[in-house]
Amino acid sequence: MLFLKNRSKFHIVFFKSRIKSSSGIGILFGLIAQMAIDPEYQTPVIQMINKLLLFIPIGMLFKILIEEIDNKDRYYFYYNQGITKIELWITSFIFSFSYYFIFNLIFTICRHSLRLIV
Amino acid sequence: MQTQLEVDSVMKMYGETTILADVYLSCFPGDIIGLFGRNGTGKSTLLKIIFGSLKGDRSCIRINGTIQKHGAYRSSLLAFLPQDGYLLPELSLAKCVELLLPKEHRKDFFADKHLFKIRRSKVSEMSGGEQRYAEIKLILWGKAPFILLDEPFQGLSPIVSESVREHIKIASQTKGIILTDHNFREVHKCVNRIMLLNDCYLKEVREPSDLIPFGYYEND
Repeated sequence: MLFLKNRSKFHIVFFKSRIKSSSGIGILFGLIAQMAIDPEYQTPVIQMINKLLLFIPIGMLFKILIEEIDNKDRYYFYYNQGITKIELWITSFIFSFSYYFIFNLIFTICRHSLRLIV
Repeated sequence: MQTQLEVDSVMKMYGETTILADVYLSCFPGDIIGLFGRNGTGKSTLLKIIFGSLKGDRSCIRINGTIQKHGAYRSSLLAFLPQDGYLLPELSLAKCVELLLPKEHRKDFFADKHLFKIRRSKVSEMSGGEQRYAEIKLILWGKAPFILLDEPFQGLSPIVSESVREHIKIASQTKGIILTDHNFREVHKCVNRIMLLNDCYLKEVREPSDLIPFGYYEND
């Protein structure tokens, strides 16, 4: 249990240090995709934000890919704890999908609440 | 089971060029092994192969009798200080220490004139020498019984180098240490075994004077 607790700290650090930039990359991709699908901006804003959030895990994939090409040696901090980069990538995707599901849930609740109020 | 790091039959080629051939090395707690060799002889490559972050064309790494098939670092019995550093630039030194050292050692770690003032600084805000010193100390204070140091004296002032040598000596009481540095005079001051990488082969050197034919101490 202590072993897992110690390792999870490093996984969280890895995820936290990448989530901001990967969200940026993901949302940018999302906006481009949205513009291509709906050039006349007819999708409701809440629905659009909801769709954009789906691009966060995709942004994480791109961020990791860019890092892999740019500098492969940034994993020694984790290697010294016995953690492989595959483990870090898997947990980051799980975390970013969880991130998406949590936000998606919040938006769904908000949307339903608004409908009820209206 | 005896605590021992054993590196056997390491071979590495880059294209047609052989860098390492049949390298054998064993390291016990108490050993401070200085790895010597000219630029491009494969010292850093050898350390990375031992650690497991680089695959050798052939290699066998055993720690405490167990063969490390998928990268020795996964056993957490090995720690490595790479040439370009390893601390995360976005974290503060205090946060790095919190992550890497047990609670009971943190206070003692910062009872150090070189580190106390910069404990709240981010790694990216620290000077190259400060960062190097913090990294070396963190590695040496860690749990791993075997430590690989690639260019530990790089960018350190003579005073800080002296502190590093002191930390290496203290750590070697319970750990086995392998280090390589172009500043061979600094290395000589703290090692108790010398190994030379020359023409792809690694051999043990008994006396520092045996290094003279290989270009060391030529001008002394």
